[in-house]
Amino acid sequence: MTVDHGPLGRLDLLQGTLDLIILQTLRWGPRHGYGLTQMIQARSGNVLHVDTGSLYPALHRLERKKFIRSWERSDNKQRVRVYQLTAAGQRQLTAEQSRWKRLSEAMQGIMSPLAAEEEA
Amino acid sequence: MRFHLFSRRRRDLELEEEIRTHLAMSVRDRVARGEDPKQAEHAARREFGNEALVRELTRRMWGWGWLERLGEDLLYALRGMRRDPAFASMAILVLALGIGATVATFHIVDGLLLRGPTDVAAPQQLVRVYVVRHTASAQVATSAEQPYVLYATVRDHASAFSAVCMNASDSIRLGSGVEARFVPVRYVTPELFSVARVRPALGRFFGPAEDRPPEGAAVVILGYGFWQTEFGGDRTIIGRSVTLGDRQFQVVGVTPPGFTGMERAPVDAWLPMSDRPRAPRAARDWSNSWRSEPGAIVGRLAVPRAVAEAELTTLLRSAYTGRNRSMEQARVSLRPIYYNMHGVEPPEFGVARLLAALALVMLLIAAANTTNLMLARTLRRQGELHMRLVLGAGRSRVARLLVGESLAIALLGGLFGLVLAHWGGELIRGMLFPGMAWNASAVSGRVLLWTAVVTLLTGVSVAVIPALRAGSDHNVSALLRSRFGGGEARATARTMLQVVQFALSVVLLHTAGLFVRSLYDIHNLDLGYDRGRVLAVDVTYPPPDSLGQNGAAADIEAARTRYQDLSSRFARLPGVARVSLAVGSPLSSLNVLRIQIPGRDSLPPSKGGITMITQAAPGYFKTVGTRILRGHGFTTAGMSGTEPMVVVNETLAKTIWPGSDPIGQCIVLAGWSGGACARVVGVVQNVHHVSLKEPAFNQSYVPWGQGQHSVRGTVLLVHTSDDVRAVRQELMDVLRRAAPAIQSVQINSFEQILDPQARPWRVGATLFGLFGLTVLLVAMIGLFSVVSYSATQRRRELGVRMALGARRGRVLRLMIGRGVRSALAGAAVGIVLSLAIGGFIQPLLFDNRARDPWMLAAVGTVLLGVAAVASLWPSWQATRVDPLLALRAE
Repeated sequence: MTVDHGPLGRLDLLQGTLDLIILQTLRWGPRHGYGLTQMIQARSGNVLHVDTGSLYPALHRLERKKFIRSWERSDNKQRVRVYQLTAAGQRQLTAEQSRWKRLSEAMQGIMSPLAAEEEA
Repeated sequence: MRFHLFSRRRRDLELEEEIRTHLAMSVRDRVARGEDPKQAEHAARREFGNEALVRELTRRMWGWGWLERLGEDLLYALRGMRRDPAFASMAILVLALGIGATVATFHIVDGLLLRGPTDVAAPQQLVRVYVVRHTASAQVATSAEQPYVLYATVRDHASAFSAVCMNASDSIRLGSGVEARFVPVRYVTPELFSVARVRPALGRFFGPAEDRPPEGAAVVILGYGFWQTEFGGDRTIIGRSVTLGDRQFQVVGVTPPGFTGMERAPVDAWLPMSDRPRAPRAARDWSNSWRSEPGAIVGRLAVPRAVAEAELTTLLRSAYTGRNRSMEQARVSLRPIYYNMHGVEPPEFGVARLLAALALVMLLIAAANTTNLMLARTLRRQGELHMRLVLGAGRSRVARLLVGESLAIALLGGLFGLVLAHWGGELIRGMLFPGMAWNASAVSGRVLLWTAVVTLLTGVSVAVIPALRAGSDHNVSALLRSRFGGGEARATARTMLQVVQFALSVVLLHTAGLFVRSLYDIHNLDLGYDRGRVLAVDVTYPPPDSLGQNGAAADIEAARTRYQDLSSRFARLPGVARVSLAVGSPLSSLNVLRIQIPGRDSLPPSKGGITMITQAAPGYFKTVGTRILRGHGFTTAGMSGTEPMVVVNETLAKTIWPGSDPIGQCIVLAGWSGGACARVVGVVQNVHHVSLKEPAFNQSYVPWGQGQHSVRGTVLLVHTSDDVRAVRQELMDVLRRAAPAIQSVQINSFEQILDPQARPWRVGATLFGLFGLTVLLVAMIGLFSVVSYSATQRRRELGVRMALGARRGRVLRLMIGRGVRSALAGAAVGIVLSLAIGGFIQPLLFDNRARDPWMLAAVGTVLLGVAAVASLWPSWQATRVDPLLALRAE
């Protein structure tokens, strides 16, 4: 997963973040792979571009862990594979969310003064 | 696995479709936004990135990736081997030899020490009862054969065992007449089967009522193999009767296949202990006597061994009522059931363990050599590996290639090793333990497991050094150079390895040579008879009382006539040169008597300590091939004479009449000539009466059938002029026609009877030779790899030398010199070791000469030759390199 960061170019996100984003996005209902990339891009205000080389491995990894399940359905005369959050995935999401919250608060605390200095 | 592969293919298709859909959707969105369809497609693809990489990365999430990748690596490795078959076959051969030897000996050690006899549960809890006492001459006597009364006491009163039984091995005649043969039987108390915790394959085992002294019931349990071969596995056998010896026994059961009780020797039939034939003198209360010792006691321990020994010792001392004073201080010792009748571990077990240790050493050497081979090969592939890294293969990927290659080699090595182990295992089994019943083929499940473990460990350990290096180093050229540049330490280690291998092969081959020399000595030994051409025909008739109620003299006369009749019939056969008769002939039976010389109080002690007596018919010495040194043998005319005569051997003549002529001297043969004087008529050479290795005994010969002496135990001796086997058949035909009344007959050549005695030396020669050659082969390949590695490594240097005008011969010498030097060092170390361990080998040899300089010289020469050949080929290759190319290569 990469973040479009203007002139700084690509920035690697923390591992596990993509999983969290996928699970979070699937809360709004079943989606196929392409739909997921579009939705993540849109919801992040065009900042996050999920690269397919990370997305599909992540989807298959999550499916193997039984956090999501998938099936095929016909959509517009096209067979697509859609992914849906499972109960286990829901629980995982809740756990990850609180972890993320604590982490981002901590990061906030560490980064704020520095950010202030830089801006100054 | 099939299912796996199937579902795997399906998932592949699904993934492909998923990616296709993704792209299609992306294109559709772009077109909808107004992009040109063609450009949209390009953009979508660009955005998607490397499709193959996505697929590869996604597949890895399925969890089979590693297996698939391992498969790829192995396949790749196999392809690589086809490109370099010499390397591959050498590496595989070395590993196959190492693994094969380890597996074969593991099987032996496992079968012998870990598993115990077939169908005997928890054999490590089983012990045999030994009675240890100090004899009058202050020697320790350990015996396994115990009185039945001791067994009954232990069974009824001891708490040391949860179950205890008594058993004894014997043989019994099956059938009668020429075709009669002797089959192995085991006399057992009924508890044997509960001690072993075995269930019958058919019917039942004995009940206590069927084995009640003094006389057991006439019942028999058949061994599975015997039941199959003799009765075709007929299930209605239960309740029918079979004749063993001259008695009828009712079949009550069949043991499971392979069951041989507490010993490993095959058993055809199981009979109650109380049915065991006893000497006629044994009283009817044999079961209460401390003097008859019918069998061994085996029990399953219920308490710790020391506790059990203490209890049984107390029990033995309080129960003993015999008159042997040494029994008062006797103690009971409990030892594993694989110990022999003297209470020690049979020597074959020590040999088997030694072999296992040797095999492990060989495996280590083989693994080290394979590592060297791998290193040499990786060096040759330097360019290829470099290219791979440049093209973007991950370092872990290159490391995996190396692991895959060594695993592929190890797997193939393991496979061939298994084949070798199968042959080798059967061979070792047959040589070390003939007649022992094994409960599995040489390759069993446990052996397969052990092979897998050894193979994988070897494969991984062979690859681990190169793989680790490849995974940690960034600059691969530097990596390869540093790895193969071989710091001084590593080069020394390699040389040491070579020296150790060569030293080991010298020791093993020298030992093998000593055993071969023993065999040669045995072959050329003058035994005092012609072992290859003489057949001993041992005919037994039913006891005289079954022939009629005549007096003893008439019986003897009848027996004499019978033997003489057979003798003359044999003599008429075309393949028979001469026939004679004897009682107490060599290798059949041993009769001993006391001799006196009139006018002398005592006789000088002889080496053997005893005097043997043989009754020999006319022509005996010529028939068996014993040389007459002075005087003459017995003639038909002399036999009717009244004056007793005697022929003595060299030793007896020299002991009693040193320096004077024994002919015409007088000997009194106690209990033979009734105190009368027997005249010495001839002196013959010494004869090996019992074994290949025996002291010179006093030997005396008297005419066969003279006076009123019994001719029981007469053996017909036939000197053949034709093929021994053909004559054997002719003799059988004669017996079939002429002697329908005989009970049994055994026809063996002296050679056949002696053959088992030569076994220890044959085993030593074969096993040490086999191991020695294997180690030599492994060492040869090892040296080859080292030289070829160093040749590659020094390509540049050699190029420079040759560019500067060094002759090929000189460069060659330079390269070979190193291999030959390590062989020289190995030979030196090996020779010193061989001389040092001579003391251990000496008692094992026939002539006790364990240090043979010629043999050592021969082995050393062979070694140097092998080393020269092994280094010649790669060195030759090295000198053929174009100096210009070699210089440019760097």
